[in-house]
Amino acid sequence: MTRTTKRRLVFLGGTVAVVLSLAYLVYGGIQQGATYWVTVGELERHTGTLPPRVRLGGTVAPGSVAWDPPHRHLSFVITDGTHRLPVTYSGVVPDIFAEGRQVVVEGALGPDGVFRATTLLAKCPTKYVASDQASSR
Amino acid sequence: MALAIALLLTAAAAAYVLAPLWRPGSSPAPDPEHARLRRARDAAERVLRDIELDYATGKLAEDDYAELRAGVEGRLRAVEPPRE
Amino acid sequence: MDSGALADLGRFVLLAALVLALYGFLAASLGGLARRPELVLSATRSLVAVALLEAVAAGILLWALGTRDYAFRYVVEHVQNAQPLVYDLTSLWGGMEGSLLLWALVLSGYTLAALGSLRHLPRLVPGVAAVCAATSGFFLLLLSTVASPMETVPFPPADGRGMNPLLLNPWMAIHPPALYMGYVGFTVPFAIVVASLASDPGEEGGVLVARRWMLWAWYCLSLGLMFGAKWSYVVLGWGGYWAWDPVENAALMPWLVATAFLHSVMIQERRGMLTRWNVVLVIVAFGLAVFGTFLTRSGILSSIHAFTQSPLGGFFLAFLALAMLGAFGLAAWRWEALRSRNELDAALSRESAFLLNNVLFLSAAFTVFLGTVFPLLSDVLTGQRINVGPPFFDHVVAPLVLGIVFLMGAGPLLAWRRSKPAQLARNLLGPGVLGVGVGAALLASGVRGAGAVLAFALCGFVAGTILQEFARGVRVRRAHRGESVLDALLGLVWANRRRYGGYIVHFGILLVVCGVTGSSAFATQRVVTLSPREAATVGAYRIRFDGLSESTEGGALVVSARLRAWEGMRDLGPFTTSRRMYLGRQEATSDVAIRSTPREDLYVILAGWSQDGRATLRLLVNPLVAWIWAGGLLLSLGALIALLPDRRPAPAAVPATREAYRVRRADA
Repeated sequence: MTRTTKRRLVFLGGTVAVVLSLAYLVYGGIQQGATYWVTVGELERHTGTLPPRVRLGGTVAPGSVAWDPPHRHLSFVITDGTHRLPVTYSGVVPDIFAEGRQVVVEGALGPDGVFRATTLLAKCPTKYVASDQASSR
Repeated sequence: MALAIALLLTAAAAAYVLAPLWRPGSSPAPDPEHARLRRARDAAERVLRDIELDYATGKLAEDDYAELRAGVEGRLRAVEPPRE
Repeated sequence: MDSGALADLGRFVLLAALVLALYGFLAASLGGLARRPELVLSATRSLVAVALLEAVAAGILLWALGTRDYAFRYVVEHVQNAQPLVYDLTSLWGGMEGSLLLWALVLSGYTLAALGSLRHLPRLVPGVAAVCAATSGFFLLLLSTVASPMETVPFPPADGRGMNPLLLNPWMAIHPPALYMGYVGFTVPFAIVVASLASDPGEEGGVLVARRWMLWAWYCLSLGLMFGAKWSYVVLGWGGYWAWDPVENAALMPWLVATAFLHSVMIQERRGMLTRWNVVLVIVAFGLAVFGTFLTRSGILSSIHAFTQSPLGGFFLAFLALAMLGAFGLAAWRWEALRSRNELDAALSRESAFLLNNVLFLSAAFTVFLGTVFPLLSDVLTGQRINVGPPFFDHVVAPLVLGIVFLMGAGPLLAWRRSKPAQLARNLLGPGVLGVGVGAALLASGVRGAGAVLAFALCGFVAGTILQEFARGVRVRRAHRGESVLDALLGLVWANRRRYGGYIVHFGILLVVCGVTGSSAFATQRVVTLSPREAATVGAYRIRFDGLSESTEGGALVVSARLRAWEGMRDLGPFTTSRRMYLGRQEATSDVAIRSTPREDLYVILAGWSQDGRATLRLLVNPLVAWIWAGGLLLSLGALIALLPDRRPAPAAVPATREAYRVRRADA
């Protein structure tokens, strides 16, 4: 085996090792960080099991917001225009959360048909913002 | 008023931009040779300085230092113009 | 001149600039191909004219913003009578159209600077002019068609909407310009490499000429990222500084690629290797910069703030595709000519360390890219839209960063070509002991968390190597010149600006890594609801809530919580944290209370309140955050030092050289 061939093999072997390690890390990362997007309609009439953590986008239905400051308990109804789903959330509410605003909630649907949100993110109204988000985690 | 400014700007830009076309030049000058040589020399000098510093701070072994230095000095000689 | 006429003039000026840019592209290309310098000169002049016309357009917009001329739609959207004038002016880059104009203006500035610097390399001028003219033309096309800042409204209102109040902050005012100086800055090295490939790549493919421009663009992008993180921390009020948001990632990706380049280019300089790789990196960096601009403008990824679904996205993708196809096509055409002179000699060498560095950085860039486009990708491939959040990025990027940190320490200790293991071991000993010591000390003092301890230990190791470099360099210099320690230190840095500037940058990165590790791994948080005179503890602090107050300020209703803090027995004094509600816009911002010490930040946000005077507070203790900002400053200093042109080395060649040059030129 010439020196060049040996060097090429080492190089190839190294590349394969790197790619495999990266793939392993990425796979693990996806497991940890993936959340599935679903629609309100899908959740409303779901059958079978859902992934443990889902993300839901929709609008806050007007007149549905109930906020209990001492317990930091928020409940409202999220809608995509046709379907409606009750949501409860405990925690800090982002500044721009309001009726009629677009929100993204992350969490799970409870057995009682109420969505228990662990994360609540609100979208800025349609306008170019030079950078970054207004959300609370 | 705006129209006047617009016309003025157009005329000025056209004059400034198109003027060179009326004086066709000679074929383009090649890159100045001395500039290329100087850059090659500067690069070689920088490498030499780095080698000296590496050796002085103990990263380079004696024999490697001698070998590398000889190589760079060769490069330096190569970018000197031939004597007339 | 009335507003309508002013807007018309603005529109005309932008259209004229577009025409001139197109002319410049054609003239430069033709002049370069047909070897007609008068065409190239005309093209250069047209780019000067483009710059002036863009300046006029920007001037018109600034005037409209400054005088609050609500006949302009852009002014209506970004200015308000109650807004401070300085923010009226900075809204020049706060909105879509204005930011595109800023992009174009910055690009023109860079173009002229680049063309000026290439006086000693006239063969590259036509190509650079053509590429810059084409890019300028693209942005001017946007500005003349779908994103005009000169649009007027038929019935000017009495007051405007004003900017999103989140942007009314000094950090947010300088963040876009810094970011754009970076993004746009990648156009110049790209243009240089493309021009070089098109004309005659020689051995180096234009890479070495492009190096300093890449360093400058990298520096600006670093600043932009820092300012953005600082703004996120101080204004957005969620307690963090980086959320792996698509817009943040968009700026990080070119930064990672550029960092890889800055290291691999050194291999090319020294050994003539990796030319093709570096050419690819420059092209990819520019592509990512345009992609980043595209991500920030289009609505293709639902980042947390809504982007307008505008036709801009299509334009950007088309331009990006054209640019990448053209550049990679040229590279493919010249592939053979760029063949490397040398090969890797040994596994234990600085070359291999830099190669590994590139692998890690590119892996990180790829990961960030994958995570950012994952929703799109999964939607297209599986029909199910899947998001990957911060846990994904943290999980993959953290080990890569640890590897990079280790290389920061080991790399400089390796010699070019090959390193003798004994030599290396001797150099690693001191810093290695320091690293292990740091790790042991942390473990002994009760710090838990393997990843964090490892990170700190590695930082200790790298700090040791950098200090060792400085110490040894000073010692050598003093041995030769007998200077004082301070003189030797300054002289050492000055004489070796690239190397020691780089070391300072590395030290800054170390501080940032420590800060990020500390605040990510060891932050504590509590959310409490307190009645007046009640207190809560977080970490070593006790926070007492003294009551709510209300006031109006600048068109906003401000509700403040008056607080007092104690650290153990020490009274830290009163402070407030507030929420501002902009009633006209139905938006709110938080005034976060931050008490920063080198050890940790005490961070308090007013999350909510009730009618009976109780307040909900979010209390955070974030360790080592101040180290991040300090690291940024140090990075800045190091980069500036490294950017300074090398002093002309003392000529080692024979003095008769100049004579010989003159003789040669007369012959030519």
